[in-house]
Amino acid sequence: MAIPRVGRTACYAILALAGLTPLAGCGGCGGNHGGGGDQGKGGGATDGKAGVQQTGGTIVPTPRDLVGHAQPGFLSPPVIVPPLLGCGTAVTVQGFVPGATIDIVSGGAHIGGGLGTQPWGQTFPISPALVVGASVTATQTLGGPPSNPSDAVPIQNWHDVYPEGLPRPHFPALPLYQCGVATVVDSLPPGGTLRVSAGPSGGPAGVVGQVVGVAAAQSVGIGPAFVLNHEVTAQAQICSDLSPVSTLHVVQQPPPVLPAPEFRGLIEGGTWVVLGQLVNGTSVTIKNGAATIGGGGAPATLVRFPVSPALPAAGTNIQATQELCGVQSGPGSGTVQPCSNLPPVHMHAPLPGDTRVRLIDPLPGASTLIFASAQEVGNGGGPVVQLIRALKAGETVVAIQVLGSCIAGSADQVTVGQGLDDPGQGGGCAVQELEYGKPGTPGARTTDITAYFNSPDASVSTPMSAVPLHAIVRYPRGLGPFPLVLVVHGNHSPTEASEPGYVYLLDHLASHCMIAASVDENFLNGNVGGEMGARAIVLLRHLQLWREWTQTPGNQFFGRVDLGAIGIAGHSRGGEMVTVAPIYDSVRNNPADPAHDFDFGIRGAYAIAPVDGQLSDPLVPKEIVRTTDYYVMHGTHDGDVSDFQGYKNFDRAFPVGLPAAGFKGLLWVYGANHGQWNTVWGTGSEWAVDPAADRISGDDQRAIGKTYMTAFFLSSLAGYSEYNSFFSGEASFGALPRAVRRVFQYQDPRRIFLDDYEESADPAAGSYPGVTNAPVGPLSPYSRIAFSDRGPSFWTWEETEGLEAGWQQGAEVDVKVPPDLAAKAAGFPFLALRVAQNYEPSPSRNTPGVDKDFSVQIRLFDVDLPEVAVSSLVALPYPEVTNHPKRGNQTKTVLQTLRIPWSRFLGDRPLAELGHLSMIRLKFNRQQSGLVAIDEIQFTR
Amino acid sequence: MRRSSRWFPILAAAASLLPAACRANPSPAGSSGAAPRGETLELKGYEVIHLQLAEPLHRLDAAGRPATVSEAYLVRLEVGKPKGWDELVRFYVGDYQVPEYGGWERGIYFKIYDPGLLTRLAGGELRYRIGGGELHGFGKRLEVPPLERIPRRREADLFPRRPASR
Repeated sequence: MAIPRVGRTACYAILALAGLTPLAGCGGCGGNHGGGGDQGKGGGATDGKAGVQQTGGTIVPTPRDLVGHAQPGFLSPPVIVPPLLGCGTAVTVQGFVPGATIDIVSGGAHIGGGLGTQPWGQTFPISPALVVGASVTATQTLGGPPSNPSDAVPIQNWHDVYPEGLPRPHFPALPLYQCGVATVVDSLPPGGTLRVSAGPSGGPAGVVGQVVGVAAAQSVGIGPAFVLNHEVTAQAQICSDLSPVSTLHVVQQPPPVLPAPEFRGLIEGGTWVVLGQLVNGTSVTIKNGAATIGGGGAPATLVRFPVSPALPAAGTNIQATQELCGVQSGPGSGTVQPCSNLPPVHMHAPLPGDTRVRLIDPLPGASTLIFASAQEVGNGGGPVVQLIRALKAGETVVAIQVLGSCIAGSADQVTVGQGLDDPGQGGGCAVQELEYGKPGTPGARTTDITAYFNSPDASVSTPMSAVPLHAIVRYPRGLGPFPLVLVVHGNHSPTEASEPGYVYLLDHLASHCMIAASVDENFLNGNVGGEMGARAIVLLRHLQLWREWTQTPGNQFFGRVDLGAIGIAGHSRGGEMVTVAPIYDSVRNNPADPAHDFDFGIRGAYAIAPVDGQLSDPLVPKEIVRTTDYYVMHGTHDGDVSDFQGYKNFDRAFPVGLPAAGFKGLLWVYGANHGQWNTVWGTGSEWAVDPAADRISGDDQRAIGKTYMTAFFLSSLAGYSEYNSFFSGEASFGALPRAVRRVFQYQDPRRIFLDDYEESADPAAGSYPGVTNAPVGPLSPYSRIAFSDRGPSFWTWEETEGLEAGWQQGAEVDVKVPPDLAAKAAGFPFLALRVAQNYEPSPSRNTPGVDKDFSVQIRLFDVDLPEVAVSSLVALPYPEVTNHPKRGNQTKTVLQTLRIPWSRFLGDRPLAELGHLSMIRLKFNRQQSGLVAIDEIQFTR
Repeated sequence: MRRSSRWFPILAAAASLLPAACRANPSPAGSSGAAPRGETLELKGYEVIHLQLAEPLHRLDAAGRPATVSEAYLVRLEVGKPKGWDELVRFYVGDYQVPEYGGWERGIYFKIYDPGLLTRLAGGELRYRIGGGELHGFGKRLEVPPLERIPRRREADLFPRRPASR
């Protein structure tokens, strides 16, 4: 019987003793799904123009006939983990079947390899060192002919990979303890050398750990063991170049009590075990009865250990202990499970054109068979399996986990292009509840924020020198570590607690295996101003608590919080705060000051109906999102923040002239108000915006909110980058209310702007050198304008510049593409832009109630290819006309992202012909008249 | 509540003459000078109090140096609040934007820690801006008596608070 795949398994960042590499599924994983593949006709997510409806994965009984037809000896090519750097003395390989022999080749010569045991990423020494300009491939062999070679990975100069200099090494597992014999260091140049040094304060430091030929994240044995109060640093080297020295860490006293290790994934015949609740640096011993079968230094909290001999028969009890400075933990035990309990492995949703399948949390030591349309297309191990062909839209893919001779009884099955689980439905994690820091309860903490705000509302009874660090929490059951999301309310009556209003979000996020907390900042509420910085500081001090808890053995959250996957969400004033906190995280960071020891590296920020411009801080003249993924959601019927202030923050995020470190998105919800995102606020504390009948229900509004927010954090924090295809309009979900119109924007970090209209007042000048624009036929207006109108003439309400174009009969805008830009086009699956039909108080060129349409055409050589109708991809609705009882007409012309896959133009022509792209034409030929706002014409993923 | 402090009532009749008053006394740059449309606020009065802080405050002084202060000047405006909570109302004295303020039963208050600043602000027009809207004048200037004549109050009496937890 097939059962729906309920959510997904927890996302774990596991650190192994040796050969550590970035892991798929959790923080920092790459993958080939980001932004979605070329899916042919996709579609905007506005109502009536939904993207491809997603059906999600299904757990099915393992199709024995498929397994029976598996070809003996068939192996996927392994996967080489980029980047490869010149002078590197190691190469990290993943995706192979455990036990295979790995052969690494460069320039036709064998340069390294060996027995592959760690398919999640094993680092092999190579000789001679890598040479810039060459490339590297790898094969795997297991009792038969070798696999096809992997994709060739070029060897790069490290200056090209790290243009701002070698990264600063970082200790992710802290604190470092006296007697510790292992740790882990990340932010390393792959293939380089790592040195960990320690010594007394002010005295000489000696090397206590060294690895030649590292992965980007590397565990390292420490000898002699760490000494109390010694200062520890790490530094990397590639060629003769040294990285900056890491932050200095002082060795701490070991905890008085060590927790008992916890087992995961004990299956008979297994050759690896996963242990959690380990204290950084302890010595671990794994026993079967009196016999030691594994162990070693624990570089982190959750660690894979090889065991030998393999795990015995089901029912056997295995024990593990950890020891540090003579303190021994109690034994943790686990019972070996039979083969019949081998779980299915889950896939990240595959998209058409994918040549790899990413797997979620495969069992260490297991391999995975991949079938597509009943054809065996992959056999590998670890989190990424290379396929022998690209996947096709609509075909069925099955993943089967295999451990030695044991074949999982159930398998994961998805349809290519439709495999995303609905983020609006509950996930697969069991949810637990907690509230911490409630004033008056034992252990409740307070913090002093007087340096940031000291003018609370008179109804606030707590002094700013001792405000509570209080939050409501929902968290998943399990070892973790789990991503952490803090949700922060905005301004409201301080006498009515706002934080319970997001419990619906907490429950939902926790069911998707994220720790979620709603933070109490009621003491900053009321008739107040100038408190924005304090809102961010309170949030950062909550993060300090969480860091302390996950680093404190014995705490219920010890080891369960993924500090590399922190997200924040905020509503209204809290919504602006989510853009302040990541900036304060660095500009206010001071490791020497416990109140300002931040540096959390917040990864994702989600703003719900935010305000903008309320921060008054000379250190931060204007908030510009540069380091975190960013999403903003707002409603047409917002009667409080009625001018969609977050649109400005969206515009500023990831400035067009600079490389982007993340993605950003925007959602404009017809009928949504300000308060219904919070179940406490409801509708009573804002003006009712007309037409009142168009306001949507609170249930619909919150269903939209939790669907988008969950997808955002799954993508930003948990490694499910394929959810970006939802933000970009290529995917849609059943949990969304069908009757509610949504306008969206999505900006992928990988983009080249042809026209962003920021550089020149002349609309003829493109943004990319050599791009020129020309109107053809009568266009009036045809001008670059500031999209900042808070009303007439164009009702754009933004903080950017763009093009306004109007027509009364056929006309077009021709964008000339220079050859060097054309040569880059095929590297990006989409031609994209933002566009909207303008609101007109007295409609003349646009018709209320009628979607706008026009065509886009490209020219290759001197041949115009068939036009693509915009209406075939997205709807461009007439703006919702709204009236605020006090502020008057608040109608907004909100732009819609339009993404056109090249395949829509090319048909059967080869993609390579895009190298001859000479013109892009926006042809206003589908309606007699129109007035549209256009911005950010680009090639993008 | 106001007995021991100096209070500047604004007569109802005077409020109705606000546009004329503003025209008679040209406002600083940016002030609309006209009766605001839509959401407006009315200033019924204000007072200035020499405040003994409930606890010493560590902050940066005007030169950016860490300082500990135990006194401040409190300016309380008797002024309404727009419906809704999150749109920010910015208050100004002349061209000086009040950096932070809090609410009290009949309006908002703000503190000035530097006597020199209070002196400089004296005579400045009291103004406000709701969200990104226009800058409006209340039609009243901040009158500050000689500092030594400003009535003294204890913050603990005006704003009784207790720590959230030990």
